[in-house]
Amino acid sequence: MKKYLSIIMVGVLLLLTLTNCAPKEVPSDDTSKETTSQSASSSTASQDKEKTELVLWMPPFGTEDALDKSFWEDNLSDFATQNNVELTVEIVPWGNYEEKYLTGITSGSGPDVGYMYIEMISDFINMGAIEPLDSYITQEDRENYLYLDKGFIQGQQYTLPIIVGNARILVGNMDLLNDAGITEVPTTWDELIATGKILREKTPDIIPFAQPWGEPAIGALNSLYYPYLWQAGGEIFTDDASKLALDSPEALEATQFLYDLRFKHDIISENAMSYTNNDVIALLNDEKVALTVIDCTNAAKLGDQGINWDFVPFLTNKSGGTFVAADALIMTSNSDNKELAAKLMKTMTSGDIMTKFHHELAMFPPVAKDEEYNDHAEFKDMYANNAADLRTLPAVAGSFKAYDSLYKNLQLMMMGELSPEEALSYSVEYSENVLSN
Amino acid sequence: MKNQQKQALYGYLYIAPSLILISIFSLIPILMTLYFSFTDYNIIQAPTFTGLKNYIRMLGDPFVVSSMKNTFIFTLFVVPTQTILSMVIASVLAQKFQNKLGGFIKSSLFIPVISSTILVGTLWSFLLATDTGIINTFLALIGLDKVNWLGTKFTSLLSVCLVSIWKNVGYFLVIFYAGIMEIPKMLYESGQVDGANKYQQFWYITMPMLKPITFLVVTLGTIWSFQIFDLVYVMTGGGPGRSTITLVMTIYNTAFKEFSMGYASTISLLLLVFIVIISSIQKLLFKDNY
Repeated sequence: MKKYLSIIMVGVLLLLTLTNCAPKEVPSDDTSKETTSQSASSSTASQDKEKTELVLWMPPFGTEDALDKSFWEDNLSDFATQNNVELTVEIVPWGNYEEKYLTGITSGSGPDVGYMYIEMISDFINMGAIEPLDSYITQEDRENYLYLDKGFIQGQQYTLPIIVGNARILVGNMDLLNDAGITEVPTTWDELIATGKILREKTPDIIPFAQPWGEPAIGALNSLYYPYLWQAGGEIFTDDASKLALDSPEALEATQFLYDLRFKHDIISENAMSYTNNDVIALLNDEKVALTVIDCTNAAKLGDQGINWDFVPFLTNKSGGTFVAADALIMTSNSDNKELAAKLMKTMTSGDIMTKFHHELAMFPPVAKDEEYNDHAEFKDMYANNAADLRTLPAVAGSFKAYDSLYKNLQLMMMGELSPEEALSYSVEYSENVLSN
Repeated sequence: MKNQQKQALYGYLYIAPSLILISIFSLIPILMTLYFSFTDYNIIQAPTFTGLKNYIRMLGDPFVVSSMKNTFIFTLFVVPTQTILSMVIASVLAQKFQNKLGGFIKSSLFIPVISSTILVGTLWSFLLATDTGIINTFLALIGLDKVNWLGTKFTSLLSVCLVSIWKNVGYFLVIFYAGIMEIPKMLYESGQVDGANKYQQFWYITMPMLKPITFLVVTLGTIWSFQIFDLVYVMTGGGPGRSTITLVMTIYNTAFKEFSMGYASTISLLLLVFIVIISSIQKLLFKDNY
């Protein structure tokens, strides 16, 4: 028995030692204060020496992830040195982007500062995962940044826009258009129909108007559908964001227009149902497509492929309108160093670093007044003169399933299985159900 | 302690590690999924109890209905086809090609198995591209019309099924081949003496002897088919329309795009129920033979 007792005692002592719960000597009041003070000062000294850790998550914009990583590490090294920060830059691939954020934030291994696109942001705000930035934005910042309003969500400044641009524009291959006797890229819905018909008749081997209806990502709607909806005067969501606002005559007009391009005018071919964005770009480069809507970044590369191209920012019907990206930096709520995180966000969006970013990684318009225009020259007028018609998606929580349902129903319509009315009513009904959940 | 009790205690001790691991990694997650299915849960915030709301939503969800239908069609097409195909190829290889050529064929057919599904999906998407794909280019060369492989409801699901079979057949082939090599030669010799031709030998000797392996292949194939995700995700994203969306893809989208972990748990349980039912039916069908 004695043997067992002694083993238990040794075990308890060991446990107490390991968990640092061993009874301590209780000092007198004075000594207690002195000890606490000494310990605090030594702790401060040690903190002074220790570097603050900050984690930054960015998506890849360069041709390879390593390029992006080294870009941010190099350009933020001064910030890290000056602020005694150990900065970890992680490049998060676009595939499974939301999943990475969700699991990262949940497991406590998420970033202090991250890059999000508009469809994600409201959901993460509702989860309490994103910190409002109002208290970190000064009046000087407000005067400098151009698109702070796009980060004003649910009554607070939640994001700092870093990429606003890459508009979806209507591009034409001028050689192919000229072959059919057309000298300009169409500017209205009626002109597109007329041009398409001429192309179909005079150059039957050429795809008059290519649309990537086979693209798996719902972001395809940014070029496939929303521009026409806005051009018809419609909106995506109702004002209270309770459902898709597609039970409107404007939405029906836009949807019917696309349906007619496919089934009445035969301007969009049946093969469009299998085209991805990459297929359309490949076909453009092979000079098999006369007209399409693509993003500015890819449009600008057409010249490098020897394509004689021109563009209009968007078609007009009742009004103009096309999509622009509005991606932003966010600060996570569980960041331990919010002041420094805010400083990092401002440093990243400063004129110097943005200038380098737009020269070395990806060309986009400036997000603040302290940078010159460094995007492709062709688009300068568009960003200067058409700002009101360059639209972003509304930040609506739970919007993914609503967009997904809309995309699937529109695909079914373009396959001839649903009428425009059915595609819209099914989407609205589903969105109402999803958003109420 | 009696000898019998001692033996029982040792038995429990021996199975304890496996039992603990299974509990931690299977039973507890299943029970948690069951709990979450009755809640509104987004991982970050605490779950809130919502009763049968998720179950009611699931009944009328067109994505769940379409994905169930597609998953069943996929399974019904893929499992029998890949089972028969791998069994026949294994049988032919075992009988005719027990040489270097046979080894080469086996290795070639095994390459898709070890290849990344993402890579396979991407590769086949290029091959099946309507205007620029090699397959349609070949069809055009022999005077046939282009097929819109990934652009229609029927052909897109068919394409995904065929690519899945192409990827899996090598794996099941190796299992069948090993099984065939285990069949005693004297059975075939007796069959030959009795005048059985090759077809009869295959039907009356090879197939019955392979029933335990067939059970394994069918069960594995069924579970894999019910869990199909990555190939579809890469090749079609579930489209066009909802023509190729699968149950696991719906679970993934619900959990990680819609952030509705509670509802995703409900759909996961539906998948679990299907797999349990189908595995039980298969077990009953093969009950005397494994």
